[in-house]
Amino acid sequence: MTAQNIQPVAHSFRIMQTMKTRVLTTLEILLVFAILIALRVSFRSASIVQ
Amino acid sequence: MMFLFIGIIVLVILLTRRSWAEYGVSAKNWRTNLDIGFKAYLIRILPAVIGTFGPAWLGLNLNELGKGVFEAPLWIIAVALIVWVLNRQKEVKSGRANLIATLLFLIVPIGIALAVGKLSLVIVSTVVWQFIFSGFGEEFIFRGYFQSRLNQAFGRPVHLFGIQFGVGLIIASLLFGLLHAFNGYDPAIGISSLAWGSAIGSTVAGLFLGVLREKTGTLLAPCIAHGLPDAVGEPMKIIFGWF
Repeated sequence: MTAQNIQPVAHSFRIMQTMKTRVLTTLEILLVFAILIALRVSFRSASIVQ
Repeated sequence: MMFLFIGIIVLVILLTRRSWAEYGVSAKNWRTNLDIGFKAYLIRILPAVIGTFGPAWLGLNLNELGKGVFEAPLWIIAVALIVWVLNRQKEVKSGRANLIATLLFLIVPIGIALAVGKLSLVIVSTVVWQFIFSGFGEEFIFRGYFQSRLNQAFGRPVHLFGIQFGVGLIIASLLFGLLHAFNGYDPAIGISSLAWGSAIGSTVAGLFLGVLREKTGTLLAPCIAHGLPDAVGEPMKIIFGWF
C-alpha cells in the first residue's frame, strides 16, 4: 500500500470514528434521559416526590 | 429522586474517570462567574414575575399552554439581555459583595415568613431544597452532563453574538423543556396529559442557562441564576398562598 492510498483510508477511518462517537453519545443521552423521566414518574406515582 | 439521579451521574463520571472540569464542575474564575450568575438572576426576575403575574394583571385567563406561549417571548428577551451582559462583563476581583448578597437573598423568604408568623420547617426546607437540588442539581444534570457530553461529541462550531456553541446547547434545552412537560404528570391519579406550556417556557429558560454555561465555562453562573430565584420564589408562593 502506498502513501497515496493510505491517506484516504485514514481519513475515512477518522470520519467513522467521529460518527461512532456521535451515535454512542446520542444513545447515552437518550438512555440517561429516559431513566430520569422513568424515575421522576415512578417516584411521583409512589407519592415520594410532588 | 433528584438526589438519586445526581448520584447516578456522579458515579458515571467517576467510573469513566472523566474530568470534572469538562462537566463545568470547577471553581475557575468563581468571582466573575458569581457576579454573572447574580446579574442573570436579576434578569431572570423579568420572565419570572411578568410570566407569573402578567396574565392576571392583563385580565387574561390563560390555560397552561397559553401561559407557556405568553412566557416564552419574555425568556427570549432575557436571553438577549444576558448575551448583552456577557459580552460586556469585566473580570471581578472580589466575590465578597456577591456572596453576601446571595446569602441575604436566601434569608429573605425566611425573614418574611418570620415577620408574618408563618415560619415553619417547610419554608426553610423549601429554600434549601430549591437552591441545592433544583438549582445546582438540575444544572449539574442538564448544563453539566447533557450539554457537556453533547459538546464533546458534536463540538461547538457556531459562533453567534459572542457565544461559541453547538447542538449541545439546543438539545440540552429541549430535554430541559421536555422534563418540565412531565410536571404534574401522574397516571396513578388520572393525570396523563403533559404540561406543554411549561415545556415551552422551560426550553427557552434552558437556552438562557445554557448560554451562561457556554460563555463562562463552569456551572456556577447557571446554578446561581437557576437556584436563587427558585429558592426565593417558591417559599413566597407557600407563604402568601400564590397559585
